[in-house]
Amino acid sequence: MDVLIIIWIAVPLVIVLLWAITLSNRLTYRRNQADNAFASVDAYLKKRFDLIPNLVAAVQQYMGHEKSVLTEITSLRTAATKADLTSEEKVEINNQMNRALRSVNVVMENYPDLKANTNILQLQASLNEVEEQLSAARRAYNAAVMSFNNGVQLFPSSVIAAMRGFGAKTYLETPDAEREKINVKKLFNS
Amino acid sequence: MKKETAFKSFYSTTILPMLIEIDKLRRKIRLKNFYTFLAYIGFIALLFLIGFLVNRMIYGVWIDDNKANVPIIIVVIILIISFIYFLGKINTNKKVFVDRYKNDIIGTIVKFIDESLLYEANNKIAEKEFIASKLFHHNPNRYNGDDYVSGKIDKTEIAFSEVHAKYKTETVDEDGSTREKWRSLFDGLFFKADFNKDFKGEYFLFPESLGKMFGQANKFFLRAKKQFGEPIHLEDIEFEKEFVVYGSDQVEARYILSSSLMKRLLDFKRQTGKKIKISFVNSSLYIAIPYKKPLFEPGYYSSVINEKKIKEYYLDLEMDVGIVKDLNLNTRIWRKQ
Repeated sequence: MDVLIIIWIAVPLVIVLLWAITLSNRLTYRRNQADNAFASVDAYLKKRFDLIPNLVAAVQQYMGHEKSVLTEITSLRTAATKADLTSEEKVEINNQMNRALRSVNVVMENYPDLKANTNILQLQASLNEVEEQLSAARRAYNAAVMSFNNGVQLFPSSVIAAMRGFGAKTYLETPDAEREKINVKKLFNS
Repeated sequence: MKKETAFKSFYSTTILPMLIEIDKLRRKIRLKNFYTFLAYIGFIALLFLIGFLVNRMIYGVWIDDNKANVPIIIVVIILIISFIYFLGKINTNKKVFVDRYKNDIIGTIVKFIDESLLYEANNKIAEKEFIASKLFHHNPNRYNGDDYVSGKIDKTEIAFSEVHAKYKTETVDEDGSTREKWRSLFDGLFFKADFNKDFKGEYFLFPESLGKMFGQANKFFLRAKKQFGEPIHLEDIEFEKEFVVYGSDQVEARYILSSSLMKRLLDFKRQTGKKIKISFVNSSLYIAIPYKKPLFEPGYYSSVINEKKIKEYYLDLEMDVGIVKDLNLNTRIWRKQ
């Protein structure tokens, strides 16, 4: 008699436990995906920063008094390479970098020789590629975050998430300065 | 896209005179084939006559039910062999007309669309490209095609042709005998273009209906994962409704499938109205558009002077070549030039 009661209690308990473990694992999987995607974003940001010194060097020869925009870029880059930045600081530096790069592009329009320089064109192509890859990484990250947030906020995995202390992640917004797309063709069309 | 007026003047000045000439050829060949047919009928009649006469001479009756009627048998054998020969002759004659039509008319339309393109009526896109696209679950055992167009539109190399590919499956019966079954692998237009970005992985876009085969609980899903990679879910809702995407890497997939490209691919799919398959492999773009009927065959039994038909060919070819412009493949602002 007692054995029967034990079975009736234990079996459902075991089932619920297994189910909880599955939910928990799924949450972990999604969190790891999101972290991995963020690492990609970080990697491409760094790649973009690494292209900067070459761009500055190439452009410096042509620009005279407009050097201020170049100094700003160089100092931003130095700031970015510091090790102990928070995510918000990283994002803010990145946004400033976007704006500075934009001004460089505008300035470059005044120097036709600069626009025809093959070195500059190659650098521009590399930068464009990194921008696209960055955009792709950002989209992949947001997709991963959505999946993770669904897990955290929808019942029943929300229970497990609360138990493990998982909170919803924030999406990476497209910075305002980036929302207008640069038309490189227009930039190089005289 | 060339304007309506440009096409109309192209048709009346360039195409129409050629069509008139070719239609004369068509009628001439039909007549020739008709005479061949009459001659053949005559030949058969004569053959049977002789056969029965000889038979009567040998056996005493027109046809003997109890013995093997050797002359009749010989007549039948000759009949079969000559019939094959006769059909071959008819087709060879017809082919003269078809080849002339294709080379002159289709070739001229292709050049009108873009000077740099080459049209070869009897050539087809290489089988290795077909296999390289990785869009099909079998390698073809029989591979045929025609109407090959190739060239470079501005900065993008393209090549396409009609392709008819079949594969065979062998099954072993209970009594140990193997049975071959031929199935159609692909019938339609197969297209390859140089893509404007470099990438490392492989990415596949299938029509959504096919995706239902890859539903979660289905065993096809596992095979799909192994063969095509991770399922990739993109942000464009309209796109997701019509395509199901698989690929090697989540980030690279989005690098290739920018929101702009997704919209363009969707528009192109809707324009064709077919369940197209697309793949990105080895820095190339492959598109397979299934068609039930052959695409560029001229009518044989009726006049070829048909402006509507010519316009149809023109629009079809324009659409295929237009892939380069529609998908913006000439924009080379990244490192691949």
